[in-house]
Amino acid sequence: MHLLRYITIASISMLLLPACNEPDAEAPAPQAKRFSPVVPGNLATAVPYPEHNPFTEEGVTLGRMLFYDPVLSANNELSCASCHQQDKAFSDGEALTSIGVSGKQLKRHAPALINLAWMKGLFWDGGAKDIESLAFGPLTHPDEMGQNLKELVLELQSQEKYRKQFRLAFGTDTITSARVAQALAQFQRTLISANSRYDKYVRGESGGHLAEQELQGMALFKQHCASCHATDFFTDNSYHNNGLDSTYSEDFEALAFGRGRISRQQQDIGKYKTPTLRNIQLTAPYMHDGRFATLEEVLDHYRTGVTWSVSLAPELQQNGNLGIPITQEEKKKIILFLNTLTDEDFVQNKALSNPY
Amino acid sequence: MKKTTIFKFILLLLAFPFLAACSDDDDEVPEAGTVQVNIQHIVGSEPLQLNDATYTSPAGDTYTVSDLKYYISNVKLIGSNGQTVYIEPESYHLISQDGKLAFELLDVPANTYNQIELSIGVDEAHNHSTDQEGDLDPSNEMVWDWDTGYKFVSLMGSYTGDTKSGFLVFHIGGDANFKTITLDLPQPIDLRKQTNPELMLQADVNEMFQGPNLIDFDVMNSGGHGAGPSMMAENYSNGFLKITEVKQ
Repeated sequence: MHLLRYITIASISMLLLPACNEPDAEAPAPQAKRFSPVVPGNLATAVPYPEHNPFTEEGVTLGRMLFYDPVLSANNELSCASCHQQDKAFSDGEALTSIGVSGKQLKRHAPALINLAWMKGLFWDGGAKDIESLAFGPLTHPDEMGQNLKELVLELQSQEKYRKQFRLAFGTDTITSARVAQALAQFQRTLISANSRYDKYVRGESGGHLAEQELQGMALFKQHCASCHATDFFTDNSYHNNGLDSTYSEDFEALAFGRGRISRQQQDIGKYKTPTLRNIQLTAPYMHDGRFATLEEVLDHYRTGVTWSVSLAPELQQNGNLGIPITQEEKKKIILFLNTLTDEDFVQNKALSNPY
Repeated sequence: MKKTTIFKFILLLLAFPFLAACSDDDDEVPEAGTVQVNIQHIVGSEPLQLNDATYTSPAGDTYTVSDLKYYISNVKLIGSNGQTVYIEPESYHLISQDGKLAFELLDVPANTYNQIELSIGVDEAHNHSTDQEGDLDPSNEMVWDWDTGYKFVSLMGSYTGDTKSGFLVFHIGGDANFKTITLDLPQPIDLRKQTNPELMLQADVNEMFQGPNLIDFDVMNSGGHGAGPSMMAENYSNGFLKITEVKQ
C-alpha cells in the first residue's frame, strides 16, 4: 500500500524535472487527421510529400478554401482558380492571360495543375523547387495576384473561418505566409489524375476499351513521343528544347532562356519542362507561351516546324532530319490516342471543386 | 517488510535530486548567460546613413545606399581550446539598417569564449524552400520566387562611376555564396563572471567592394547569382564583419 505512495511521489518528482527548463517553443502537435490520398496503381504506389508538410484532411480542406478564395489577390477579385480552372484540368484556356491585377499580359502560359506531387521542379523552367515555395510567385507577382504577404496574413487572420481552419490544420490560429503555402500545397498535391479511358485500359478495368485507331495511335506515340513524354505521368520531368525558336532574347532578365535562366548553363538555353499530356484535350493552347491553339498545330510543329539551335533535343534531329517523321494519317491517330488521356473523373471530382 | 523499507529509501533517494534541482541558490556560479550582439554599419570610417549620404567606393566611384539587408545565421561561440561550446538554435537573423540591428544569444553555457563563428546567408538545408517563418518568412522580401531561394544580401542604391551612373542592385544568393567566417573577440568573455556581455559587430559596406575583388561600378552594378556576385561573396567573407569591442 505505502509502497505505491512512494512510487507515486518518486514518479511525480521526476515529472517535475521538465518544469525547471525553458518551456518548449514548438507549437502543439496538430490533432489533424493524417491521410494518404488515393493514387491509382499504374501511376504510383503513394503520393510523395515533404517531411515538414504531411497531408492532413484539415490541411487539404484549408488549402482548397484558399485556392478558390479571391481574398488571396490584391484586388480580391482573383483566386488561384481564375487561371487554374477545374473544367480545363486546372488550366485557363488562354495563351498569355491579362486578367492579373495589373492587367498586363503575362509572358508565359498558365500551366495545367496535374499530378504536381511528382514533379521535381515547378514552373515551365523548373525554377520553383517545391509547391510550397512556388505559391509565393503567383501570389506576389505584380502582374498576377499582386498580393503583399503581410497584408494577406492580416486579411486571413481577421476571418473567423480561417482562424478556425488554420487551428484545425496546424494546431494554431496564428496564420503565417508559410502555412498559407503549406495548405495550398497539400491541396494541390491531391490534384491527381489517372482515371482516363487509357488508364482503365492499362489497368484492365471496365470502361477501358481503346478502339483500333487509338491503339495504333498509342503504338505511334510510344515510338515517336514517349522518350520525353515518358511513363504514365507522360513526362520525364526533364527539360528539352523542342525546336520552337532559334534565337533567345536576353530581354526581361533573359526569360526566354527557359531552363538556362535557372541552371545558368549555356546548354540549357531554350529548354523547357516536358509538360504532362494527361487531359491534353482540355488544356489548349499549347507550349510555354501558348503559341499553338490545337493539337494539330502541335503535331505539325513536330512534323515540319522544328527549327535548329545548339540545344535542340537530339531526339528531334535524327538521321540528319529535323522533327519527327510522321504522316498526316499517323498524326490523326496520335491525336485520337491523346484524347483517351482525358480524365472526366478528375475534372468533375467534387473534392477538388470550388467549396464556396 | 524490510525489503520494502529499503526500496522506499531508494525511491526517495532517486526522487530527491529532481526536487532539489528546482531550488534557486544565489551563491552558485550561473550555469548560463545571455550574450547580446549589436551591429553597426559603417562605410569606411563614417556611420552608414541611408539615402542621404554619399560615399566613395574603393574603386573611386561615388555611391549612395538606399537599402542594406543581409542574413547572419548559424551563430556559434568558440571556447579557448578552439572547441565550439555554444550553437544557437534556429539561428537566422535578418539584419537590416532600418530594422534589426541586434540579437541575443540565449542560454549560453557559463564558459570562456574567444571567438564567434557565423555565416552570411542561409544554409543549403534552409535555402531550397521558402515556406518558413520568423526572419526567414518570405514576406520579408528576401526570397526569389521564380528561382526558389533566399537573397543572402540585398544592397541597393545609386552610383556615379567614371563613365556612367545609375542604380546599384546587388541581390546576392545561391548556395555557393553562403559563407562561414570566424571572428576573434578583442578580449575573451567569461560568462561565469559576466552575465550579459555585449559584442559590438561592425560591418563596413566598402568591404563588399574590395578584398580580394575590387568592384568597379562602371563594370558591375547589379547581380544575383553567378560569377559576379561570387566576387562580392568572397569580399563579404573577408573583412566585411569584425568584432570591435566587448562590453561588459
